[in-house]
Amino acid sequence: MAVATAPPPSSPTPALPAAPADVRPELSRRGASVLATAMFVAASAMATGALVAAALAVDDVPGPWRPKGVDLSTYLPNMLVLTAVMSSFSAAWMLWAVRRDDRRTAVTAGGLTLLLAVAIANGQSYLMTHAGLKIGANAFSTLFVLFIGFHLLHAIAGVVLLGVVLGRTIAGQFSADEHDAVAATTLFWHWANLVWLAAYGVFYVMGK
Amino acid sequence: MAITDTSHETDAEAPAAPPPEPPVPPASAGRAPGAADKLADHKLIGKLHLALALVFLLVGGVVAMIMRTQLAAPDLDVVTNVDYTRLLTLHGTYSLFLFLLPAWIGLATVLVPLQIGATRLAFPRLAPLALGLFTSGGGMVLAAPLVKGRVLGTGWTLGALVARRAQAPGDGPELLMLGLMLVAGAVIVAAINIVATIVLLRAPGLTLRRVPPFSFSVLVSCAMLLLATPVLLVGLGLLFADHHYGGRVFDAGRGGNPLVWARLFWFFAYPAMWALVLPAFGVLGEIVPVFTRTRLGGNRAGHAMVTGAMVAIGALAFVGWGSQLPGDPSVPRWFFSATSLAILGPVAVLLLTCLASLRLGRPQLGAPLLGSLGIASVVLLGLPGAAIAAVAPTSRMGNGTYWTVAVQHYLFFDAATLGLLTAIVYWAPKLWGRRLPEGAAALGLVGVILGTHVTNLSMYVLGLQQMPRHTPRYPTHHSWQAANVIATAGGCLLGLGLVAFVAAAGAVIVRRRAVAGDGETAGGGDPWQGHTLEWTTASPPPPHNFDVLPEVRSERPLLDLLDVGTGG
Repeated sequence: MAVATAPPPSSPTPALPAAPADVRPELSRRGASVLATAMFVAASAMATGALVAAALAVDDVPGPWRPKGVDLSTYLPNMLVLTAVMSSFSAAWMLWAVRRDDRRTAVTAGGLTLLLAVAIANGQSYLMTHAGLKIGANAFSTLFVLFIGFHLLHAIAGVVLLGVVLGRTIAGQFSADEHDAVAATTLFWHWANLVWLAAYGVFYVMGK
Repeated sequence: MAITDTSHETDAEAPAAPPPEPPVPPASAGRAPGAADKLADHKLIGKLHLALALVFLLVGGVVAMIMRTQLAAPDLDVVTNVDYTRLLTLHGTYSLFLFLLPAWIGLATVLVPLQIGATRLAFPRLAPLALGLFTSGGGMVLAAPLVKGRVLGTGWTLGALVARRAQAPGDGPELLMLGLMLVAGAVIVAAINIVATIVLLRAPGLTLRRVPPFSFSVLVSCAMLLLATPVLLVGLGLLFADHHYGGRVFDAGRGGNPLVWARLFWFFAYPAMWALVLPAFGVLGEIVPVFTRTRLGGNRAGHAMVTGAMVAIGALAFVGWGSQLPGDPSVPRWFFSATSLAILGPVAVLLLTCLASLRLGRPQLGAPLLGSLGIASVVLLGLPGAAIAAVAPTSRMGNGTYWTVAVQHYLFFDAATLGLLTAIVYWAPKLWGRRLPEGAAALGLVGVILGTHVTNLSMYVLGLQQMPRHTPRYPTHHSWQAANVIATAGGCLLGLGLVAFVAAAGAVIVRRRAVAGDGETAGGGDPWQGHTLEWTTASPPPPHNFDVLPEVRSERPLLDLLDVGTGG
């Protein structure tokens, strides 16, 4: 044994008493996807906070936060807030149904959530391209496009995840005991809606 | 199986475990590992992270030596003033983003599953993804100075890109930003993976309170990076939009605020600097008890004190960022002075608890303990400097002079680097199946420790002489010359120490000197009589990590066994 000046053992290590048999770890992944999603949401929350902080810092400089000549219609954003709230309820309904092993209701709720999510993604992309604001016009416009784009990314990811979860629900892959993917997707979707509410607050409430 | 069920604590007096079960053969037994198996092996991916970090350590070291040579004598023309500031930017960028971050993440990727008794990471495929992001991002950062539109510099905070956007056109700065975005993505991915591994895959009995100091420090560090790095990502996104599209977010003339970048950057960088030094404290907490044959602080409460101090450092780091912005009028200076001073308290507690083991135990010298003492000395000399800078941020010992450079190097970069080298010495058997040669490793560590002290103490003196940081040259008659010459000599010593260390590690990897000549078996390959689970398996560990695990009844399960064996 090539030990050089390593500390000499005071006594040999006794033989290891083994732990219970289930130590041999093909470890359960239960909870892994929910935990990973929660951590992603935490990271995304910090990014959202940074965007809000940047907007507040820009608002802090002398002059109006929303430049003169920028007129933001509130009809579509208000509809999107309503849609986001409804989709959060329907996502929670889907999770509730899966937990009760009620596949039919889960498919209905999942389909409704997916439909609303597509509407949100579509509305956001319309908002981003038709609000008349471009990166580079001024700080407000740049932050608007980046913040809405940030939410749009969440919405698109949500559509994909909800689609996968709906497909797996239809295929009967979830049960009351095994529904981590549904819980994780629901958590993500709630967060995506909160990102939109943050953007709405910054640009349509604070920007009035 | 209920391996993640750690809801109830058992203590040393708990009833004995049921009779041992025969080991279950690994899932991959009986077939040769394919490429997918190799990519899922956390040990291989972690070592590749370390190799990548080594490349950037060498590049960053050369850059640092050029800068130190420029300052070795008055009015030298080794590089121009502009090139000096560019090198400054690259030196900081390489050190933080391309060396320390991938190196610690790589080491954690190798060691955390072994320390907590897991066979793998929680998300094995995320580890190669993080490596790919690090590699591509690092390549872009490395290429940035070489393409059109060269990187401007006022240091690693990248403030020049904000302040002088018009003077920094071209692809170079944008390549740098995009590269750093990829690196930030890698950090987030790796942090999620490591935190999930520690939370979900701990061995039975290994409660969170019993997680070994290194893994616990990695847990806190990754949590900090997970929360801080997205802020950098947003800042870089805004900077890129500003630079590439003329975004105006930092343009005061078009409704923007130039202070946004500095605030976002330091909200990331201040916690990140502490996140990088925390694993060095974890290394200290692992090695000192092993080499003093005792528990942390001499008793069972020591472990709780150390882990508690780590959590406190992690929390306070998020409220101290404003201490780096003394020129920002909207930052409440008294508050950030208080918080940046308060964070030094848990650091002192942590350090004193580790050092108490030296007094209460039976110290036996070895290269890992030498490195640990080096970490302690570096942090001890950095603490007073940081305290003074926190209390008087606008004085000659605050921001703007070499005093700050000395504090940042002592407390963060040098402590982290020394921690990393010490960790490699200690865990070399787990990395490569063999120890580093004791003499060569010790020689390298001594060179690094002495070089660090000589350089940083000289920079303290330069701070007292009010030499501004980022100064590329100074006139002949200036009093700064003596300290600069000594600092350069210290830098050379540090560089030589690093070269000796890398040569020692390289020689061991090439020569394949085994830990035990009689072939490795489970439970063998523990040259230090370690206290934690990684030392129960062979060195190097098999692909499935463990054939058998001991029952975990405290934070140092193998020390418990030794106590039982010796009747202690």
